[in-house]
Amino acid sequence: MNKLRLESRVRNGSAVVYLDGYLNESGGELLEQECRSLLSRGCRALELDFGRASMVNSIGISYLLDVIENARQGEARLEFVSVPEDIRLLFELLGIAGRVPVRKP
Amino acid sequence: MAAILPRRQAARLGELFGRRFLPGLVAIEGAPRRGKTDLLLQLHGALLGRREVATAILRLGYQPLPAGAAAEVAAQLLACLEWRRLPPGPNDSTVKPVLSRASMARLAEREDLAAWKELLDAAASDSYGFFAALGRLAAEIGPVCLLVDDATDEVLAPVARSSVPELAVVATASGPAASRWARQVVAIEEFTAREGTLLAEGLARHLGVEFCGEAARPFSAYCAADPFVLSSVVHAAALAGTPLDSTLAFVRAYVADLRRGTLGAYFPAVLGARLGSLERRCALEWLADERYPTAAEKWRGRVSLDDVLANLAGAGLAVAGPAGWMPRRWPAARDWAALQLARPETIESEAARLATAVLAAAHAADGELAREPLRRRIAGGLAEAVPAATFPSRLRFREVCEVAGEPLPGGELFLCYGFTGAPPAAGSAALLAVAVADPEARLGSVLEEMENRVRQALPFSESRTTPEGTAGVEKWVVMRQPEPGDAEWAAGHDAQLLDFERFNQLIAARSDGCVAARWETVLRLPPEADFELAAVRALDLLAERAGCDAQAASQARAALVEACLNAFEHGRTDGSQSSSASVEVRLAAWPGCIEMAVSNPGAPFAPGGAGPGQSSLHRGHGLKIIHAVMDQVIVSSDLNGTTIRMTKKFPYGGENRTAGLPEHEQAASGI
Repeated sequence: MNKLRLESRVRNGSAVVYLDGYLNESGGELLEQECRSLLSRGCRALELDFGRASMVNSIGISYLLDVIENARQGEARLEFVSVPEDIRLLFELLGIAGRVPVRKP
Repeated sequence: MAAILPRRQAARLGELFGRRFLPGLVAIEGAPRRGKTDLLLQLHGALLGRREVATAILRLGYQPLPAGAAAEVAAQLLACLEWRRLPPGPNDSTVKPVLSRASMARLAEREDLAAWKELLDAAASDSYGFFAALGRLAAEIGPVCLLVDDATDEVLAPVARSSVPELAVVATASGPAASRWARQVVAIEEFTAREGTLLAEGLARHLGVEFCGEAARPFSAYCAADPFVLSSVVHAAALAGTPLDSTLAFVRAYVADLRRGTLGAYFPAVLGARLGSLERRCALEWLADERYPTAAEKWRGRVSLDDVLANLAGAGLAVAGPAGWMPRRWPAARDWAALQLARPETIESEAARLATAVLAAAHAADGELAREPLRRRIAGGLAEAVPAATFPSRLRFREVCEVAGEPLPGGELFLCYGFTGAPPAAGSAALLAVAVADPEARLGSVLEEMENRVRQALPFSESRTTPEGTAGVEKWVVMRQPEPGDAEWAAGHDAQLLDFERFNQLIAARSDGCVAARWETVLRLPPEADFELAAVRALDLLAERAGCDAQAASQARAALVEACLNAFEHGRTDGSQSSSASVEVRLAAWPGCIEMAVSNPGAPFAPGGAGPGQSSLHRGHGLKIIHAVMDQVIVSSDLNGTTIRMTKKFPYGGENRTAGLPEHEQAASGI
């Protein structure tokens, strides 16, 4: 459960952001900034890959809500992929699963 | 003319080093036995706790050397500097260098290290030459600070006359020499931990390195700093033949500082999580509690011998005994904490083995210890530093190891060693073992007990030391051959004595029978970001032991994180972001059930509300998650704080076994 690291790959206006580590408050801030940056650069499709995310806490999820809101305002398509079961459960509990497509690994 | 600071101003010691440059000498002056050396050692200990400062000691097992031949020579050079005794004087002066990481790196890169080593070796008998050579070296590699204990004129004069700005010296002196030579004199009458910390902080600034207070330190940094900080110090002191008193004082001061939290509250938290305090409890509860055989009829879980051994290893228990003591059926124990001290005539070897075992045990939980190189290093070093001639054969190392289990719940299990005729290294290692095994509540009393024992054991005595300081222990497992008088001792202390045969019988019975175990641990975490991970780590260990399935463990983990985050926020009684009292996390598990309780001091909070300093946008989901994933959640608040108690049940052995818990077990499991 290390500090969150992000890796973004952009191609043809679509971006995939790979999350690696613990999505907590600091990680959430980092992610929100990264997604905001991608949107400002014209990305209209964002995919957050949780395949290597070790854990998510509620503060990290609150930043995901910010990301969702930013994507909505930017009229960008947002999708969460490779979401582990335990994290998917939290997404469902907090209503994220109903706002964003969430795909299992 | 030296500036003299009275004791009342000693709290401002850090300011001495706050200046960018402080070449020359700072002397700590005072009457004998007033705490000068303690202050110096405390300064040293505080420095060793900083990742920004490198020393040769740490590299014994802590700071990896850069690859290459130059690094090896650098190691030799630094070893050459360590704790050097400088003649002459009524007391030997000892010198300890402290280098910044940058200086260390520059040193390791030099190609002429061999020449430097030769030069310093040649100057070893001449203080002027020695300090002159050091000054030249410091001028080339950058800031070097020397801590000098019991400095004499011979030592102080050349330093005071040195014009090398990169060479700083902090020295203790009990005579007027200090004020004659030093630029600053700190006249102290008693030692406080705060002074040492301030000194460390100031010195770190002086060395041009970043000082990180404990509050600013990320969790990852604490994880990187490990028990080697302490163990290496103790070991190095033993290596150099440091008097027992000094070693004990250092350990005591160091640990006391840890307990006060001035070096960081991380030791109890990290050690508790990393070294398996919960497993220690598990092992000892299991060994000491005889309820299980009767409960076996109802419980069908199993605790194997391997489980016990793993628990012992995870608990950092170093077990030693006379030849033939270790049962053959415990072969794996050789790989862990337990060790066979089979040759009492080779004291140094035994001490080395004990130290090695302690260190190995300290890292057993991580499984990443490079034991063999470390063992060789320690064994080789001790063999050289503790020649057999120092300890006549009559001072044979006779080790008595007792494991004591207090009634649970709430009881602490700890390990006591009695040493007879042991060299300081063994005593130090034993102290370390206790420090590692019990970093929290009982440490102070155990240390006192250990100190008394070691003192009583020198010189050799046939009388058996009794654990007078451990009142309240009802059961003792004496891990040695029974001796006449054991039973009388036990009767006199209202304790039950289990000899080794009985111990084995218990193991056999529990390995064959139907035994269920309960594991528990208590962590006290500073309310800082990411310390919830220490609790998660402990929970993972505990859940694994209890046979918890992945899904239930994951849900319990999520709830625990949220409870910790809530406690961290609301535990800041003043509403600021600064840390205050610690958050207590109690974890307990047995087959079929996990219980967790997270308590924070401070004013009650409204469940679901945002904490101080947190916007409602970013908080408020925690309790929702907790309620959703746990089977039972109870939030209780009073003026003293808030506690969230959570229960998670999981299937075990094809059925939910919690329903079958005996009533008294259910009561005992309350946390």
